[in-house]
Amino acid sequence: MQKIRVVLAGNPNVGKTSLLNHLCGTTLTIGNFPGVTVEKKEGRAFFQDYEVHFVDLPGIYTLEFYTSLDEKVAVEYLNQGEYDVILNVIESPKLERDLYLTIQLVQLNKPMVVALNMSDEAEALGIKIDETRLSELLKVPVIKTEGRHGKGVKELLSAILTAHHKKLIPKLSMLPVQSVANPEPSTFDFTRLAQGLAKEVSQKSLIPKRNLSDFIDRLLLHPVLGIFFFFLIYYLVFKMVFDLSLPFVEFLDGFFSNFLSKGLAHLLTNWGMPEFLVEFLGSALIGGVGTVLTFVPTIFFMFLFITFLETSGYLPRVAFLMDRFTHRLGLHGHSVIPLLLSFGCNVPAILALRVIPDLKDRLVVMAMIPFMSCSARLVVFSFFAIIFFKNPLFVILGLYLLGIFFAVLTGFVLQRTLSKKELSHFVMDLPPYRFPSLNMLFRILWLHLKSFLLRAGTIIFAISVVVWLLLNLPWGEKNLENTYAARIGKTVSHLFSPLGLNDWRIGTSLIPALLAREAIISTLGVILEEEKAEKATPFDWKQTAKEELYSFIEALKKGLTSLITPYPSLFDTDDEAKDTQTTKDKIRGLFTTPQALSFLVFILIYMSCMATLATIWKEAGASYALFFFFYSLILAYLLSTLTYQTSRLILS
Amino acid sequence: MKEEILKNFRDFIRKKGLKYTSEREEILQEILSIEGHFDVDELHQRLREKKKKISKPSIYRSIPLFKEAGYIQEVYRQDGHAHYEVTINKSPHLHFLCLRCGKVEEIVDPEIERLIQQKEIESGFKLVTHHLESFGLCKNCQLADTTTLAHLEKGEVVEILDLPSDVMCKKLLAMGFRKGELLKVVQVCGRTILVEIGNSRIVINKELAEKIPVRAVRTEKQVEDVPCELINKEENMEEICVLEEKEACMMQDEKASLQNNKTCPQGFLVKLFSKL
Repeated sequence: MQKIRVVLAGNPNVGKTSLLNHLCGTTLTIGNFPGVTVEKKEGRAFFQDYEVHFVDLPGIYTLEFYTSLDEKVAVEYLNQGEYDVILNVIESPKLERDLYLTIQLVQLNKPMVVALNMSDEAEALGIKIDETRLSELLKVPVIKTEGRHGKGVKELLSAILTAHHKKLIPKLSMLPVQSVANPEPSTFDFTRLAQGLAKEVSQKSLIPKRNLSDFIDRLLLHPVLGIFFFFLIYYLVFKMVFDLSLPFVEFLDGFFSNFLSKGLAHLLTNWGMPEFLVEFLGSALIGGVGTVLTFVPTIFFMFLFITFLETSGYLPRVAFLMDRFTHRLGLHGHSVIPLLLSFGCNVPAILALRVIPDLKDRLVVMAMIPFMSCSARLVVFSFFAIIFFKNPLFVILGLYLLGIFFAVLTGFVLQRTLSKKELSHFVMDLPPYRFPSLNMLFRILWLHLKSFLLRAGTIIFAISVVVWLLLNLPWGEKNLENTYAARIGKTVSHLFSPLGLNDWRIGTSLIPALLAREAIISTLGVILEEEKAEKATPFDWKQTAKEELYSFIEALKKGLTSLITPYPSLFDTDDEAKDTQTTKDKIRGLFTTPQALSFLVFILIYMSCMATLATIWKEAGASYALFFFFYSLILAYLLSTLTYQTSRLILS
Repeated sequence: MKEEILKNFRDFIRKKGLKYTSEREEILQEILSIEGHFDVDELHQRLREKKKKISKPSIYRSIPLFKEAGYIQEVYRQDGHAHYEVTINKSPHLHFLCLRCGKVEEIVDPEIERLIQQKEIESGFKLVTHHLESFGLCKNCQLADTTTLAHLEKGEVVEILDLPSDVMCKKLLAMGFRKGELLKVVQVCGRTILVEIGNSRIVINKELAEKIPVRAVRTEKQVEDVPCELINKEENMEEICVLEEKEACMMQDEKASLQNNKTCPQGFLVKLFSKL
């Protein structure tokens, strides 16, 4: 089987990814280009005894120069020439603009296939493109495609093979030959040629131009209404993400701890396994997997909606709309998107920063992002807020605002100190609104989810196991205060006494939180679980399985009904009836209200997520990452102390 | 000289079968003493200063007679009234009339006079008076027209006059900005503006937009206001043609009907364009 390497090149938002999705199907992967955090989508297709390897490049407008990291990667990749065929994707409605890039791609002297993508959109606009004429002019295959439905994809594959076999290198007779003897930069006017080509191959009939995008933009980009719609949309997304996922999170939690873990222990004990192994497999391993999986529903829905907003074309509009606020901080509207993403998870938010062309802007926003409460922190916040406060909504909202305040403050200070020149230029193409194909949406979603399970999931699982071991070693030690975990916790808790967190159990729970914030709850769970007396409940497979089935149906019902209610049910306090003796009740006994508040502020401010730290490390270097790690730690320490001392005074 | 004119005028009145009045003579005398342009108000004022009791209506009634006799001509209209100049005994000169502000510049050049005299001799035509007018935009109005992309309002349509050669502007070129192309401002939001060019919608910040010189073509609203049958300047016609094919087709018909009906009152035209 022969291998062909194909590179997808084209302007941004021309639908390269959806074509790739149809070309490669399940083999599609998302990774990074070596050494940089620029997203690289790859996949393979098998066709007529060939393995065709596709690489999707970030969108570029020209090969002459680059203004962002994305463009740099793409231009360098194309210039290095380590591929066999260029698949040049053209957005048919913007034929002339895309031909400008095409002419430059022609000069790379590589076999090429042109995909006239979104040909349905062009037809709707009254643009008729003569692909055979274009094929004659460029001397390479030109195929009309529709990325959304995958129309023309089969033809693309065979055209790629033909181009590869016959070495169909595009030639434009009008282009001056760039000879080695004449190295001076060509003053040839690409625009004229592009205009001429576009005129030659396309016809525009008179259709009154009044499309849906225009109308939606009138509302969504209105200086006043636009802001309103932005908050409405953001609220809806926020509500849906958490309301839809919450019942499933609760179900998974119960399923693992009540059913699988206990069931396995029951089974293994019957087989006569040693007690340590039974405990380890049942509690540590199954519990760890359970912890990881409880994040899946939230992350699934978050990526579902964020990907939808991104592919539908709304996110770039947010950048336009929000620029008037962010520019006060000396930042582009671009930075709103990563900052908003950071409410979901800080790691993809930091990766999304690469849309900002300026390095200093990137660094500033990068330092701001860890202060934005991610959904993992929300898990901890809502868990604690519901236990300790009458109005959990206000506490959570207050914490969010506090985080945002420190993000802005940090950004402001950095903007002044990084010897900031004036704001760099801001240019962005707004694609028309498009309804993304569900197939592509779910594939991208799955790729994100997979990478979470593999990267974050393994860390969380490892921590769970380590924590369990720390808590249970040396083996046979019945008194928890003598375990390794407690020894570490005790040492740490001395440092935390100004914060009111001098209980060794709290100190211990903060250690794994360095690796993942969500682990705080599971650690506390494990610690408190160990404290209670052995409760010998008879385990009945049938009965428990039935209960779990019911609770799954209940979760489905809850998820769906929550969509009808206008406010986020995430903050409902009265659905705690499921277990009477849960971790929540035990935590209630562990903290006083000022302690809980101080604990939450501490978790909010300090950069406790190793994945975030690692990402910053990769993006901006070790010293930058470590500086902000310690900066956040000191800030968190001071703020928590302040919170604890003042709230104690007020409440007493 | 003056006497001769007055005598001619008396003959003219008599030939028309009108009554000769001293009032008319006084007005004419006053007019002949004026250098440069005048309107009825100014004339009335001057006569008053000389303690001559001539009413405005009489002046208004006399003016068509002087025009007919070829002593004066209307130069331009502004704010609803006409401005005149004495044509007799004035060497032929060219008027540059600004369509927008109505400003008139007199171009006096012996070359014009020489050319007219030469043509007069060649054709055997006996010249009585001259009326040379050219319409256009004066310097100030042109400057007011060319602005940069950064200063536009929502809904304005402009032509890109130039794209500088720095990297960001080159990127704009690659994104579809073309010199000479029309673009429409879709939305202005704080520091950024959203423009539509071709099928693309592009956001650019104002600092960058400041570098791009543009020339106003029209705003969406104003085109609706202006009845197109009054537009008979070919240049302007073409500009708008590019914009909306549909609209232009309609106008092409109007243009055809205009060519049949050649009398387009000049005053109307000035008024119309001063609106643009």
